[in-house]
Amino acid sequence: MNYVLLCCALLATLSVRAQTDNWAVSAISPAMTLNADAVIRFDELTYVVHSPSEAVLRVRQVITILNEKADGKARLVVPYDRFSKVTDIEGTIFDASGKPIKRLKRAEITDLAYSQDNYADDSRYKVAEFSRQLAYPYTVEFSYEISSRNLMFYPTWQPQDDDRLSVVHSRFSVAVPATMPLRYKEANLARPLIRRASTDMTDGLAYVWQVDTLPAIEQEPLAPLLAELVPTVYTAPGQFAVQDYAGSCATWKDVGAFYYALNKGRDALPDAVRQQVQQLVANEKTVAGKVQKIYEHLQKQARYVSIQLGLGGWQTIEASRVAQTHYGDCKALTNYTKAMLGAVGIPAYEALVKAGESAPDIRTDLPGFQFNHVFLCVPAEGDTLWLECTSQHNAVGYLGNFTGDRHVLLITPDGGKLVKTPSYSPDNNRQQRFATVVLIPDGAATVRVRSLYTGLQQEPYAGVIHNLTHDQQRDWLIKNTNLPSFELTDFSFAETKAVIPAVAEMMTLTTRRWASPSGQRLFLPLNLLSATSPAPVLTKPRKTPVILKYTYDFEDTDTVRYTLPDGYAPEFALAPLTLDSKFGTYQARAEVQGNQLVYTRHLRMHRGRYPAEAYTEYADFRKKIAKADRAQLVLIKKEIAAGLPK
Amino acid sequence: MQPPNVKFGQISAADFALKPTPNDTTAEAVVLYESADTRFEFRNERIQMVTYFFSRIRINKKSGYDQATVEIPLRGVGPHADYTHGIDGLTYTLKNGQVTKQKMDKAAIRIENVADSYKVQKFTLPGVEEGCIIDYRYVRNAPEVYTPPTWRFQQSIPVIWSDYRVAIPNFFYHKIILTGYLGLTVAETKPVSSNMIIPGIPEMGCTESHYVMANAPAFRHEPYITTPSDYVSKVEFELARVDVPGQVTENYSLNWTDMDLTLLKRESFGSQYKKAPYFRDVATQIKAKYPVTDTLGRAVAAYEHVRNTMTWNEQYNLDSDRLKKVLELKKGDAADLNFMLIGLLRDLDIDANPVILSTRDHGRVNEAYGLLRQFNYVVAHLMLGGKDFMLDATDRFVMPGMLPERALNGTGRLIVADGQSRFVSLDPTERDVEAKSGSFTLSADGELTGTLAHSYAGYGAVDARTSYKLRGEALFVEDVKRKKPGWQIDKVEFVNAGDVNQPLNVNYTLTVSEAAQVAGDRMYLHPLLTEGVTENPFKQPERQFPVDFGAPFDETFVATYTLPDGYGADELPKPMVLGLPNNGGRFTYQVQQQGNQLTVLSRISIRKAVFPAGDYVLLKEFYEKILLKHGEQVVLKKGATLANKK
Repeated sequence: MNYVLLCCALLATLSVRAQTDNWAVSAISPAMTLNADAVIRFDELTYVVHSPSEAVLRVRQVITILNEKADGKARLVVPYDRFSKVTDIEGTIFDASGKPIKRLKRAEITDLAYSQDNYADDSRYKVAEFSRQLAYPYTVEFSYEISSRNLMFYPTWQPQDDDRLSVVHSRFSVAVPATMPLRYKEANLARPLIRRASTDMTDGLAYVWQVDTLPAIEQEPLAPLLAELVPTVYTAPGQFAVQDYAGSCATWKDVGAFYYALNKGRDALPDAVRQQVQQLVANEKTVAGKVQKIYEHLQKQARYVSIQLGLGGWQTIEASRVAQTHYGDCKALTNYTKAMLGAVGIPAYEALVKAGESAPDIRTDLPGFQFNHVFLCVPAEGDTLWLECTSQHNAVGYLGNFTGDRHVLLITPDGGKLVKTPSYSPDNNRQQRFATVVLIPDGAATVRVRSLYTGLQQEPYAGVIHNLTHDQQRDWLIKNTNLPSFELTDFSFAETKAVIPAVAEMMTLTTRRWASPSGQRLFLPLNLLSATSPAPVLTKPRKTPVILKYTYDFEDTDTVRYTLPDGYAPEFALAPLTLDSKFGTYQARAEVQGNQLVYTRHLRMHRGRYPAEAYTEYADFRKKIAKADRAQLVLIKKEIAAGLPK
Repeated sequence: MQPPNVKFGQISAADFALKPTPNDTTAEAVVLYESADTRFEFRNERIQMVTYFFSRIRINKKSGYDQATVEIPLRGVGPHADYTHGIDGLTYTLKNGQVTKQKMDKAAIRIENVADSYKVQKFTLPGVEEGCIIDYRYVRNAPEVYTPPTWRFQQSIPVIWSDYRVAIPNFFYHKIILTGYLGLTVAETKPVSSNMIIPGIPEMGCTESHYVMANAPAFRHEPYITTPSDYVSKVEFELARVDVPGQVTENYSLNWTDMDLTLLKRESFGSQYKKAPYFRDVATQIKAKYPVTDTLGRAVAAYEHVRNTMTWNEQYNLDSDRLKKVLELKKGDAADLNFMLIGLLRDLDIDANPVILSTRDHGRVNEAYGLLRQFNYVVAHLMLGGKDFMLDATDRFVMPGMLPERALNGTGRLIVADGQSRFVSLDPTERDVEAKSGSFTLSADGELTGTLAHSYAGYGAVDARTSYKLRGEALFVEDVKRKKPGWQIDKVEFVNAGDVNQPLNVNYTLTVSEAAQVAGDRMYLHPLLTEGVTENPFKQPERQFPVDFGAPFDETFVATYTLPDGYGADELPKPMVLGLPNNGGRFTYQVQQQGNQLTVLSRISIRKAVFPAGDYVLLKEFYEKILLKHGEQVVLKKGATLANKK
């Protein structure tokens, strides 16, 4: 779905001089090895922009691998494509005393295709790797150079790009002609930027950033993304040129104008196809109706095939070709849909997006090509429609967690326009479960469950409907239903396509153990199907803020009606429970009337950002919920109960 | 059964209604017809194997669209490389009773150079939609290969007709192996004339084999199997002999004796482990320490040396021709490391030899055929006290004489000179043993305090030690905390972590608040706490294949609870003893009160590694009963004495 090109951010790394450096592990201060699997000893990234269409990135990095968990960091991976060239890859490996053991040989550098998941892709990568070392720690040094003729992307400097990684020293310098001042944004930096005249060119400017002694960061549950915590410099081009196209990233308008120019005129459709599309919507009166028809037509007719070609993957295949082959990547399918809408007089704009369920939003304050995907926006009075053209089954207007709740760039004939896509509230993301459980005295039960999932909560279930065979669906339900042992007698799914889509799941099952008998008693756990687990236990003081992300915008309700076996009554009553916290609310109660017991449960959470100290309170809330979810009612034979002293 | 008359490009509306027998209405796609025809041709001064492939597939659902993209791996370099030609594709759709056809054009066919000697030929069909039929054909030439490809009759989708024909010139002789659980519809072999003219060689004719399977259902993966390829229906070939009169006569593994000889003569096998001059100093030291009569002492010392100084690169292999390099890198594959070990053992005057075997994920060895290709791994063998004793230097945590779990796969072949080679059993010599032993005090408010000793032995210890080594002590404990959120661990102690000959013991001192539920003057306690079986691993109602656990296992839980003052058992779960047929397994369970102490014992013992498919229902029932028993609870009551209840 997402195309890869965002490649650049080309592996932040580093570089520099000094053959006399001492890479002995004993030279690392203890504070730098605390909680670390690897230590970046030295890192230099030098980016020299010679003109709007030519730049060179020089990298040198020295990293000490403390244990086998960090072996992957001793591997150099350098992506490139037909606009870039990787040269001068060199490497040396040192033992713990800092003595060089071996230099990298040419034969140890391999050249591989970028990804076999893509049908067509002209990106490749160079990989350099020493054989795995037996003795830890050891140190590797790599240096290389990439010259590029596509300056749509400038590098991002983020030396501490992983947890359990410390950085002794890293430096980032960018040299640009004085006429092309650098555009950049800084985050989490302690030392100020140094500006000076460039030594790489006459009449050039140099920007230099540096960090020293960054201790390793340990991952904490519900923490912010690492990228929000570590020193980072984002850079972006002003003027740039690639092949015959010139552009600018000075404003979002400019960024959009470049993409527009790159793809202009590629949306012409053959007359026959135009007429076919016009006929298709002939009976539709409204824009929404026409869009619905055309989107359904696309989903029926065309399929996604990953083809990452065309100007580094940013220029689409022509709509006329897609009209013939009925396949394409995100650009091609979006462009084709836009062309079909155009044929019936409905304007639509491509929307560039950084897609993905856990992708951070783009930096809106630094216009540039921060995107990895494109979909379609149909502006309409009051109700803009969004179309994910790579999806075979999405509903018109539903963005979900792939493209929802983030900034996207609309590509209009007047250039780019930054807008925000809709987000989904707890009211949109529901799980409503109704179950009837008929119990017999040995604890066995016949169970019918109907669950309705909406919005973000329906996504996995929609995936099950569309991607799995009937047998696989059965296996999936068996695996994902929270019961110790049961036979699934029957099941079905029903999907409702809407702006907030819904999936209803029906199951009939029998289980030999819903309740556990012990002599005169029957232990009845009230909430087997929707029980939750407590939050992870902290083993060290909490450092980072607590982030409940968008997945916490949800509401779950459960109603379970039990038919109790004849002759049994509760040994004691359960008091209703209400838990209120700033993170959400929880209610559960169980009421008995005759042989019927109705258990209801309601959990509503919402996203939020809280200080580190709040973790204890959050964990306590979750612990109480988990305990309440495990509540059991003890049923006792009525004749025994009658004989017991109260 | 009549063979269908299917030709590329010729189709009728009726073909769209073809159904597999039995019908599989849920299949995402169905192979209507598939054939391959392998011949040998003389071209460019060499004999080439040429295979003509043809597939006709109906795509029923969008989830089956992957069938329309074909990837053919091609290996080799220069004139020796495999290549394809004659790629042709057609997509048919049925609209209003009329079949329309669309041809795949050249632009949809591409070749990807993945690495130096590895290319992938790709093509994708146009105009694919639900209900369409695709036809594709191609020819694959293999200039350096004289072994026909493995043909799989069964796939992840149903196959109505699968047809494989191979005509082999009579100067090649192949072993043919059929595997799987389904029967063939056609299996014929007959002489045919050869159309191959090789200057200077008399015409010898060909032997044609023809295999057909009709109506193969979709292959389903199940848990506890070795590898799907052991169960899928297929035909494989192995070149046994080349005999061109007056030119070449070469015998390959025609039978076991020939295969043994082939290996012994092979430079990269038999010559590699004769001695180990590179370990001369080590051998001298070991000899000094252990007398020649102490075979075990010497063997274990050699084993420890190799496995502790060399790292396994996680590769399997049967050959080695690079021991010098491996010594330099201190890292190698299974053959490298075990050849070194055998060499060292021989230098210690021990008669060590290789055992070749097939790992679990590589499939079972068929003793009826002496085929080298069945093997992918080699370990060291010696006789100890008249018994087979095997060592595998790839694993640092198995006990001497024990093979890692990946090597537990039926039968291996001991390769010894002078015709003494024989089969050896790879049945596990150790079980997977985990025992938990607790001693707790229960307070009146339901809190437990005490100690729990978790002991791992046999394969259980290998897994635990691997995780302990990989994660480190702190993270190992964190993993436990994560899995046991109710445990407040006050102290942890690791015993014998470094001594693989002893069980690994992890001793916890812990508090579990709310371990028992308190209601008035009663308490309800799960006697196995959270350590019981909570899920039946066998969820499917029936099974086609044997259940293969890898190794027998044993799980024990014993605990003593000191009850709060004045409390006694009001109700106790009844004891249970349960057996599997043929002494295959046993479950013992007992809870007793003695004075103010409650004792519990639960033991699950599985004594066989492999159970036939016919035992599946029994195994499932065995677990079902354990699950029910482990769910039972103890009722404690103030002032209760069990004697009164009897």
